[in-house]
Amino acid sequence: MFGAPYICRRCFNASLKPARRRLLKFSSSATHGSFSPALLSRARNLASEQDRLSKETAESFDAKIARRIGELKGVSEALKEWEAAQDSLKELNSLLKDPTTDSELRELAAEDLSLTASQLETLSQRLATSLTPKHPFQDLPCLVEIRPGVGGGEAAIFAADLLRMYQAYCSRKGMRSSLLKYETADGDSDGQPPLAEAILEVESPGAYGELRSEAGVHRVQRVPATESKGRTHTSAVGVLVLPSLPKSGSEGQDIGDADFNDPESDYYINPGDVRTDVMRARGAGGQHVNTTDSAIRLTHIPTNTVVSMQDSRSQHQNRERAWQLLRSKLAQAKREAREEEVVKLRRGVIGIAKMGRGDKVRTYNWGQQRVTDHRSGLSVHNLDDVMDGGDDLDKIIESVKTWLGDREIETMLAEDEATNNAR
Amino acid sequence: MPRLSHDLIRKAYSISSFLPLVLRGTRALDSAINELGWLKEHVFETSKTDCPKAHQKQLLQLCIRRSRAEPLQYILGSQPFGDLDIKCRPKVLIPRPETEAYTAHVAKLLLEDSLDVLSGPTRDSIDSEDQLHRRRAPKILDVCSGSGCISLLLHSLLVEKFKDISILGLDISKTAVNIARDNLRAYIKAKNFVQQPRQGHPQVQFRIHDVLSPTPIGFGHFDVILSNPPYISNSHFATETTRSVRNYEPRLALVPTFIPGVLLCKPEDIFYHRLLELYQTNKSSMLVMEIGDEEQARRVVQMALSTAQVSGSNGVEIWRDWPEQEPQPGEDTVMRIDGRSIAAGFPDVEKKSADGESDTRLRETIDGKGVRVEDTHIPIKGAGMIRTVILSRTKSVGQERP
Repeated sequence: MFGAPYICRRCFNASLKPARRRLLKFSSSATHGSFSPALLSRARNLASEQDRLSKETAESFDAKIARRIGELKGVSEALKEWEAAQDSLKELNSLLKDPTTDSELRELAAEDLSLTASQLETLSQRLATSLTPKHPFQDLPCLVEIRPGVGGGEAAIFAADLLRMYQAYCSRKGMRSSLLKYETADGDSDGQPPLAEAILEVESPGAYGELRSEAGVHRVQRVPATESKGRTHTSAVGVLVLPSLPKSGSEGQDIGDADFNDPESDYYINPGDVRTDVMRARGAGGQHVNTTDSAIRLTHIPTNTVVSMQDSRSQHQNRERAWQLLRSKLAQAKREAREEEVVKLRRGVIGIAKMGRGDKVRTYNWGQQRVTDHRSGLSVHNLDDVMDGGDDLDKIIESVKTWLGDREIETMLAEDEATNNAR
Repeated sequence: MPRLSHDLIRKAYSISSFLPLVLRGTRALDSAINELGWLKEHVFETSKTDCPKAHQKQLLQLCIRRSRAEPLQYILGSQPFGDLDIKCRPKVLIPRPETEAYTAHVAKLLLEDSLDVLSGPTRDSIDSEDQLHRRRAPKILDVCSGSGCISLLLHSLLVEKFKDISILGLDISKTAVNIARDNLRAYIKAKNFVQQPRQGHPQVQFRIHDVLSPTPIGFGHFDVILSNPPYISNSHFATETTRSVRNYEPRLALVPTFIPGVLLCKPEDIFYHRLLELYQTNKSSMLVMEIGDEEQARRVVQMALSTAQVSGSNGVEIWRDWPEQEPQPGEDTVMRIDGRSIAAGFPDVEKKSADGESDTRLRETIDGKGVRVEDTHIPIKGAGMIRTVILSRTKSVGQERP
């Protein structure tokens, strides 16, 4: 029946299966040299709104309107430049087509044309980015939470590797970072207990915008140090990027709605909703005992969000850090809930660039010395440099950011179309 | 002390070979892991060499000390207290988190102005400028100051609002006062503040003084008196305290020395007797006393209420460990004090007289003068164990007084 007397069942089954499906690539090579009319009309709308508003403020000053004008300024300026470039392009074209133009002028025009065309390319790129809505947390510092997922001890080791990678990356980029929480689990590795949860605080403003593309599940494929038989394992580590909110309201005046006392704001937490648990000494307490328990646990009762902190010997400090973490978590949750709602509203529009903890975003493959980001589709074959937080990690992060920007523009366009259709 | 299970020791060993040693001191695995981390940090920070072998050796030494139940605070030489770092050495009591909680709460009350710091002897001769001055310059007395933690934390929390605040810490132990002064110097250095002498006295100072002796303290009167006096009885010292407290912390700061001849109260309560006296002679606005347990709180409240001047015109309150938290289910919010025991002036007769008629709210006093005495209900605030007794004069009451 078969050419060979015996075929192992596994090989046979494998030969029957279709070739392994390749990972979907989301290419990010789309350019916006030719602008879609919807986007252009949106830009024009915004520019006209800016004109109208600035006329209004000429008579009476209002901080809110002034801020809005500041936001729109980038769009209108980019639009003006883009239109100017477009006009000059048209003029040059007509000059070239006109048979009456003398040869010297024609030469100059041809030279200019290529220059203007390339300028137009960059200008339209700029217009597109200025149209992308700014993420409300973009200017904030951030907290990077790293937790091992499936994969047991190996996942914990890789989580520690990732933590080192981000620390190195931050120090190379000149961002100040500090370990907010480093929790170990009990296990059987030599010397250092395995990592259970780590939170890295990146204090530089704008760090959230830099690192928010890192959120998601990072997958590792390698022969772990704990493996004795040389088999490759696949494990996963979850990375969560939270905006870090300013400690007091006065510090965050520049972030617009960063007001802790305003119940409407994302940052507001009703202190009555939070239950504080302090580690209690058993027995009589007071002078009778001198334990060093300084753990604090905060529970936000409405959302059942629990934050615990025990790294510092000072209860005071633990409490402050726990509050900071709780605020960040709740603000993020509120924002995500709102985004979820928007998605529901325009059902059918796909590609919203929200990443939760459920999505696998990147693979680190030791065997091939390769790092692949599944969103931008970029592969880098310099694993060591990436793990040292070097230039290649920068490249990957940049590519994801461009991808994110494209997704956001796409959703914006779809949204515009939807509203146009509704009309 | 229950034996550590083999399973627990094995588990600790699998995490780190140092951990079983620390575990012998802490008796619980999670706090042992934390403490080992802090010990490691301490070795890295203080070590003069970079040699990892030397580090291991030092760490081993510290872990062995910890395994003999020496308090971690003495090994590391400090204990965080609020946002301060208080130095701790043997022969001085380690600051407790409960003390931190009520000190912070007292500071909060003073900042909110819900206490009337103004009420006092100068009340009758109200001179607006003097009043203003007193509002800006409350005088605080810290009895049995120990490491000076209460005084320093209060100063750091209050100095913003009360520019001319002055705090005096008294302790009988010379070692304690020396450490308190060390802490004061470190505090001045860390906070970078200049001690502005007010009427010739620095803002914060610590003195050696036996509070129980009848010698007057001097320095005028005080608006607020706080105290964490020794309050453990001899029998409780033997049974209730943990090994590291009993063997390493100073007995002087935990158990009051018995003075023969003083028979007004139980030996462990003698400090409260003296504190109430100070409260009265100073006509202070507030008295904060840390106490050991519910029974002691009851005795102290009875003592306070039976002192004629204190009763009637004052708010008496009891705070639990964490005064700012909501009471947990199962924690009483009111303590009922038998009216007769107060009137009799003998705190301890309460139990003996509690016969069948104890349910009646109103009853006649024993002295037969026909004055009807009501049971008193003392509010209890916060969550945790009963920790402090607070006496305070309210604004309206202060004005009614002649």
